[in-house]
Amino acid sequence: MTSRATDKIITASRKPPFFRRLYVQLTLLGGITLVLAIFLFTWKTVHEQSNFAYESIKSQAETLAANIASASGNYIVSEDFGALEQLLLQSAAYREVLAIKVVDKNGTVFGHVQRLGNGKPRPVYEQLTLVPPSVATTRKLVDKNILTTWVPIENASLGWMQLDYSLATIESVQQSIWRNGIITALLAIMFSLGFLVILLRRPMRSISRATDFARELYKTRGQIMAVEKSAYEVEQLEHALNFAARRLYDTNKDLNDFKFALDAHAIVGISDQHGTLHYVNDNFCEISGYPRDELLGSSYSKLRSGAHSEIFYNNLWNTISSGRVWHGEIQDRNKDGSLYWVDTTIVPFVDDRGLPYQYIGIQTDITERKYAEEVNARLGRILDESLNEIYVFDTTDFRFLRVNRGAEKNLGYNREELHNKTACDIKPEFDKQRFSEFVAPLLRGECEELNFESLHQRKDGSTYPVDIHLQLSRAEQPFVFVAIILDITERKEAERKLQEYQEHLEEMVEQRTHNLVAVNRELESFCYSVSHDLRAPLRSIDGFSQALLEDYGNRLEEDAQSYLSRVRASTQRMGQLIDDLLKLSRVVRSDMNMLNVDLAALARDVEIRLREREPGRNIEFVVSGDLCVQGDERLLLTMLENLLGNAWKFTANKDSARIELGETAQEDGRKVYYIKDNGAGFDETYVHKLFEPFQRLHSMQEYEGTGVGLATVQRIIRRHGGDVWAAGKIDHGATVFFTLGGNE
Amino acid sequence: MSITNTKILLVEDNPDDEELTLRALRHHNIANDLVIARDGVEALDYLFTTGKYADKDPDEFPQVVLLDLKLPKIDGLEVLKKMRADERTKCLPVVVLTSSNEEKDIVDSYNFGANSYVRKPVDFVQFIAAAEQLGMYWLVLNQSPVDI
Repeated sequence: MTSRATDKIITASRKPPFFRRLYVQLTLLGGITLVLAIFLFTWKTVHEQSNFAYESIKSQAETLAANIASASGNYIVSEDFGALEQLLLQSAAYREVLAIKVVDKNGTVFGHVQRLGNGKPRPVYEQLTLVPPSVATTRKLVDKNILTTWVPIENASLGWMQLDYSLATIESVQQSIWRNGIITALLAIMFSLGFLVILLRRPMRSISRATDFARELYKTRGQIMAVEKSAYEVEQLEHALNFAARRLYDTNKDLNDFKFALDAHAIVGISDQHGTLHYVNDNFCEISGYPRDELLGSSYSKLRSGAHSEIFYNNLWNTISSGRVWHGEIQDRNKDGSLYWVDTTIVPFVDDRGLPYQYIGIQTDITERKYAEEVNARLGRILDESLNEIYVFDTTDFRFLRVNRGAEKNLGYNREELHNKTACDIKPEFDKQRFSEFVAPLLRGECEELNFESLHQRKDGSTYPVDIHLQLSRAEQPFVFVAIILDITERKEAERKLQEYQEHLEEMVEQRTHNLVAVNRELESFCYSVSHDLRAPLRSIDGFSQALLEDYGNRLEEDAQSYLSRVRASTQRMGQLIDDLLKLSRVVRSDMNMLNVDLAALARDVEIRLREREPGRNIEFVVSGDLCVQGDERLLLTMLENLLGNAWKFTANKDSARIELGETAQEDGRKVYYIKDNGAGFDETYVHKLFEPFQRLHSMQEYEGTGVGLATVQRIIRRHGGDVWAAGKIDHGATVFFTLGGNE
Repeated sequence: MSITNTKILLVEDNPDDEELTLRALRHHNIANDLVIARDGVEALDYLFTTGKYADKDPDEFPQVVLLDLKLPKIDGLEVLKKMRADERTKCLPVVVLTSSNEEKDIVDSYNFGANSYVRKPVDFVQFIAAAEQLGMYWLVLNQSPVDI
């Protein structure tokens, strides 16, 4: 949160402007002060010394002028001008004396000595008139480094003396003073600054170190800096910094611990005043299923599940944007679409003006609690709606605490009435004493549940049988009994009936078996009768017809013989029909003896017999593939006799007949066997009639037969758990397919 | 067994069948004497010289018995059983006459000791085959055994 501000401070302090550095400022300030002080002092000293020199030279010149004037007065009075000149020349021996002039009252020069350049003074003889001062006092004029002094001689009664005195010496003296002063000042300043710098270096280094320490505070983990012997204030500063560092660390640690605890427990997200997330913790990412970078920059609305109305969210937003804390439960949707519930507290952080600048959202996953609540509520409803009676009642006085609708409905009491009753009140078989004893094992924890049958009494006094599941629920304090009760009137009735049936069952089975045996016996006897009794008259008709033909044939007309032949044919056919019918019934009745049977071998036997019967036929007989099967050999032989016999029969009109027995695999892996011929075939329209007994698709004139063969085949195959079907086309042969057993 | 004994016992209740059988044998010149028994009791009387045939020579036995199974009073299988139980008739050849190929009859017959079976109506060809099977080829030679 504060890292960006810290960065700012650090970058700002990294390159300080030169003049803003305290070290520089102190040095500069000290330097300037020193320079000013030393300069002023030097200037004043030099100035005073210079003035003093000037004054002393001036007074020296005046003294000289006064002496000359007083000495020259005697020579003027004595008019000894030669001595005067001598005096003037001597006086002019001072290097500073430039000229000495002596004038009378009128200004006429009568004594004049002058120095030119560095030369010696020489007398000048030149008519010159000067204008002496009007008042007889000493006058001084300074002009161009020349001090001109007028001195009256004898109160100007004898005239004036003018002395030109060079001040050039003063200047060089003054210059020398100035030069020395400045050199001294500079040396003083340099030394002072040097000392200053040396003095300041150590505290400045300490300050700089303290600054660096302070700057690194945010990442030091409670470390403190070593305090060196230094300026008192700096030392104090360092101590204070150490203290602050310690406090900062402690506070920070506290905060971090709080944050750690918060992050560990809660789902935390921080958003700005617009709701844009700029911090989410791991829990947030985990529950929402979004990676952190997808969440940052987006808002909470990304997680909306649609479970809450717009008003709900508006209310939330209004609360927090006005600076108040919002608390509530929200259902959100995570990235993979599943829903979850969070208990949510949103705390706005307000600025000085009281306006929120960020919101911190603290959430807890309450999905399971919500789910449990929902399940509980649903369970409650389901239990209440249950048709079973459910009671919750007290463990001591057995008074009903809660009852469901099933109980109300079955008993005829309303809920109020039931709440005033006890479990014993509706059980006519129990009184309180007996019931207490009965449920005691539950209370003692000796068993988990009591299951028993009893009677319940309705409000109208009638009773009905019930099945009771009673258990002690420790889920509530104090413990309660929970009973789930099933009305078993119907079950009891069913049980009674079942009992009855059971009692009579053996009798019934015996009866049925007996009947079945009788029926079977009857059937066998019937078949036997049919085979004998029906045959006897047929035999007579056929036999005597034959006898007639043989014994009296020569006496009968041709027509009569033909008729008798027909009678014989019909009786023989009827005999055949009876035979086939019996065979068919045998197929159904006989016991199965399941063995490994090679259909190929059976087919070869059948082929031999067929060839024996009709040796003249030209038939190609092909048997191929693995034809070993499980089955009843006798029945399978009968089946092959019929199928191959049919093929044999229906290829009678072919010059080169071909009969094929083989196997092929079906899509589901079952083996399918087939017998294929190139004979007369059949019309597929009537394929459904093919396997019905006595159904024929060819006339007797074309092919003989009773129409029982394929029906027999079908029964044999069905008895083996297989299936049979046929395909064919008139004049293009027929193929009969069959399977044996479902699992082959 | 006496070489002069060339009788055939036909046990048959149906007169039509009896007639047709007689005719078939006659037509093929089987000369043996035929004794007809019309039910099981008669057959046993003849064989064991009892009842109606009490006067018969007790040592006289037919060469072969043609036995129908469905008979009044005592049925064919019962007769067969009794024959096989008696020392005198234990080895007497018995050809069972069946009205169909109903195999139960055939199996039962063999179980009770029948030597062969012929399907009715008894036709010559079948009869010969059965006789051959029984090793009684001489029977069908149209020769009187006396002559042999």
